[in-house]
Order: sequence, then C-alpha cells, then structure tokens
Amino acid sequence: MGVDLGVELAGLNLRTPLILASGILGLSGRLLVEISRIEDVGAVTTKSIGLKPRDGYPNPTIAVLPYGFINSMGLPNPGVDFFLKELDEAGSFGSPLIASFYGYSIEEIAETARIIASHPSVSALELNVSCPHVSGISEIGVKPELVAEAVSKVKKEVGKPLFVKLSPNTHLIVDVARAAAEAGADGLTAVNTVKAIAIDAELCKPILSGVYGGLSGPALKPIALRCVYEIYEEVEIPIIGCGGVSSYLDVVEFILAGASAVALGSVIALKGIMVFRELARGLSEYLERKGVRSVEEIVGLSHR
Amino acid sequence: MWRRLSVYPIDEEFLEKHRRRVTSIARRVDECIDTVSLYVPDRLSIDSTPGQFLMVWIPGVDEIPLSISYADGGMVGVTVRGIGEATRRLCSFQPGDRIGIRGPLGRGFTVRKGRSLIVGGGIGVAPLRYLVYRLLDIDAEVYVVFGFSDKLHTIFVEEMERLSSGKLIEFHIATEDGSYGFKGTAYDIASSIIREGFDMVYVCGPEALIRKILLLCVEWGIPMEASIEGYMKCGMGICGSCVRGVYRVCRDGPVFDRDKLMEMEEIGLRRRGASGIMEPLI
Repeated sequence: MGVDLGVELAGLNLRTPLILASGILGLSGRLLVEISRIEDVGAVTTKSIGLKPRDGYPNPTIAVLPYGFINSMGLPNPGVDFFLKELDEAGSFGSPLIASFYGYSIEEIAETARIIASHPSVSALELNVSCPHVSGISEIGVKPELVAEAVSKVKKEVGKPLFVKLSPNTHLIVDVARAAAEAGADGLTAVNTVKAIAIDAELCKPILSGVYGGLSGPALKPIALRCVYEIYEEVEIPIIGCGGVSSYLDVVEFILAGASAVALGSVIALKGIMVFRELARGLSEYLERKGVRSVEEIVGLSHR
Repeated sequence: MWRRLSVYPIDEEFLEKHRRRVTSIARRVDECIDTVSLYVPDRLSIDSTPGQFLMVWIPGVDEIPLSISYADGGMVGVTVRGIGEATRRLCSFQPGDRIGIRGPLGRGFTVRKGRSLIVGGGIGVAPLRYLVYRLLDIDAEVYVVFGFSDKLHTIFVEEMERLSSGKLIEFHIATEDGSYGFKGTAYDIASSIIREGFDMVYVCGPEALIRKILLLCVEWGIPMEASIEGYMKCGMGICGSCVRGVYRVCRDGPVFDRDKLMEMEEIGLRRRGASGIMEPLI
C-alpha cells in the first residue's frame, strides 16, 4: 500500500477519509473507542445526542429492502449528561470523535453544543437538523435562515469545528449549505437519509411504528452523490459525503464529486466493521493506479 | 436480482432473513398460567441453531426478540411469558392470528458432544429446550437443571421428565418456594453437581443466575456459554442499542462464551434501556 490516505478536514487530521457515520453503533463510549482505534478509521461519529434522554420509537424501527434500509429509530439517546459520563469512562480515542447532536429549538441546540463540546474527548461537533422521522428536527434543517441562526449561535459558544448534517428532503439543499457556511460552519455532512415509508402488503399497513423513516444504503447513493456535487459547486467549506457507500468505488465517486471525507453507515450491517479496511485498501490502490499522491488531489476533480 | 446487477451489497441471504415474513400461527400450547408456545411454519428456521432468535412483529404493538424454543419439520416455535405489553398481547394470540418474523438471527450455542450441563431459570429455559433436543440428536450426555419461582410457573417439566426416562441423563427441578421439586434455585443444584465435571455448561435465565454460574465456571475452569439480553431495535448489528461491553447482542450474541461474558463486566449488574442509559439490574 503506497499512498498515504491522510486528510485534513476542517482542522482535524484524519488517518483516512473514512468516517463512522452518526447513528451507527455510536451509543456506547467503549465501542466507539474500540472502532476509533482501527487503523483504517479516520474518525467516528456518535449517535445524535440531545439535552434530555429519549427512548425513540417502538419497534419495528427498520425495514430491509433489496436496495437499502428504511429506519425510524426516533433518535433514541441517553441525553448529554449520561453520554458525557460514558465518555469519561470510555478511554482515549484513536482517531477524532465527532459528536452529533440535536435540539428542538435554536436555544436548545446552542446549549447542547456548549455542554458536549466541553468534553475533552470531543474533537468536533455535527449538528443534526435533518432526521427525517422526528418532528421538530427536520423542520429546522430545510430552512436556510434557521440553520444560519443555529450555526452562528453554536459558533459563539463553541470553538471546536462544527459540521452541519444536511437533509436531502428539500430542493433548497444548496441554499441551506450556503447559509450554514456563511454563518460560520466549518464543514457540511451531505446527506442524512431520504424520507421514506414501507408498507406490508399482507397486513395492508405501514411497517414502521413511526410510519415515516429514512432511506439509506445503495438506493440513496446517487442522490447523495448529486447533493455533494451540487454543494461543492457553490460552497467552499469541506464536505463529508454520506449516503449508501458500499464499495471503494463509491468512496472515490464521492471524493470526485467534492467530498473531503466519506462516512459509512448501512454497509456495516452487511460487511461488518472491518469494511473500513477493505475500502481503505481499495482507495489506496485506486490512487496508486491513477498516479495520485494524496486524497486531496482528487477532491472535486469531476468538476474540472 | 439486484445482486447480479453488481455492487449492490444487500445479498439475498441477508435480505431473506430480514424481510418480515407475515405468517399465521399454526399451533398454540399453554405452558403454564402466563406462558405460551406459538408455532408457525417457517422454512428458514430449519437451519437455525439453538440460541438463535427471531424478531417477532406483533402488528400495531411492537417487534421483540424471542429465542427459538423449537424447530423441526418446517415448524418453528417461540415460548413467551406475558410480562410487558407486547408479550402479554402475544400470549393472547390464537391459531390463525398473524405475526411477522425475521430471522433466525444472531449466534447460538455451540452444539457439541460431551458431558453438558444445562442450567435454566424462568422463561430462560426457552432456548435451552431446543438445545436439549439438538444435543440429544448428537448423543451428547445431557444434564438439565431448571429453576422456577413456584409450581404454577414451571414450564417444559413434563417434557424433560419424559426425556429423562430415555436419552437425557438427569433432570433436576427447583422451585424457590418448594412447591415442586427441590426447594431452592437452579444455582443451588447446579453448584452442587458441577463438581462432577462437565465439558460445557450452558445457561439462560435471570442475569443474577448467569452471573453466579459464570463465576462458578471461571473458578472451576469449565467452558461455559450463556444467552443474554439487550435492548434490541435493528436486530442486524448497526443501531448499537443492544451493545453490552463492546459486543452487539443481536449480532455477536445473544450467546457469548465465558471469556466474553467476563470481559463485559456488567453481566448481572446493569444493562442499557431504550434510551441507552445504563440501568441497574439489582
């Protein structure tokens, strides 16, 4: 393996551009630490944490389709206080920890950000304003002016890098991205899941208890790729590409579209956590074959 | 079909297991005052391992993990005690009522020949019943110890007594109030016979029981496996809600060996609830 996969992302140094996406295994501090120490993992993201604990929805919370998953977890999380205690006992991270968080109002978002960012293990924040199945969250993420307000409030409170995770469930995604950037966001994560539902034909009823869920996996990839491409055209700050990455070629495509790093989620259900290794190898071999010396050289290359 | 189209990673086996199969209950058996076994026809469960579980969807109510308590001849059975809303509703189901199932999921017990001690408490005996049959199939020497609170809550007792007149070597039963069998717990009996020497100890039941047997097996240097619970949502190892220690109960378990159980530290002491907050078990 010749090519060094290290990237710089909004001031964070990542060993590889491969990140564990939010919502995937990110509830246990110990498990996050374990994953962060795998050598091909660039960074890990927590499940979205709110000010107060939340149980999420009753099951069924997931539907598996031939081309992706629809989940309606309902943002279960133990709340900031418990989560920070969990981080205290988790040990030291082997790669940067990005803490995903949410709030139902601008004030709550800012307060949650301030509390989470105070923890020494947290390297950066990711504001989730795009969960498609919890009301009060996604409404913020489709309004550029609200996102701008949230970002500037958080940036006043917090010195650490702030990413905003964008919703694909709006034709205004570029406007939201631009608003976030202008308000001081350090990076963008594109995208969250696409709002979707699943119906059981035998019972003639929706499958998920929350009815609506978010579509992830291969079906999401071309949409997510388009979002990254569009945003890269208009916005300067770095992008974490996210949505249906399943192979190293998907990783390459996201980078060519303009992503500086790529987050992995659903693929872990199918290939396990060691998929990071497979994708890092593939990416490295690709770069070598192309005669490229760093990931940065091909970020956004498809636009040129 | 999608797989042939190339990079799509959702292979047919995974998809088949996780797509909910809505099916009608074929048979219902009342095991005791608050516990029933429900049987449905299912092709995929033919190849299941004892200790594996199904995600059982009670439409309009919930979807819960239940260990397989029987699988043979194209039928799969689960045994459920009515404790919460979902389990009570399931206990009211009659033949013809419809449920959805996913599975078989997770890692089950290691089924191998030798002197095996099976220790179960309460509804934890469900997967052990299936294990007994599979161990007898391969002519293992099987010793069974079941414990219940009282006579009214005993399950599979007649079945085990019947088996013990055949290939099953010993069957012991304890009730805490002494209304049936030995007065005491499954642990009391297991701890006295464990010194006879076993190649493997299998446990399922309250975590306090699992913890005590675990420590006993560590002390005696006997291999041991236990089936444990976690708060499950996705059932496929991505959401993280059932993680204990650094292991996913739904994917890496629900059966874990002695070393992994010791590594978790929390067995019998605490477990995550729905929000992910750690809740004490004692």
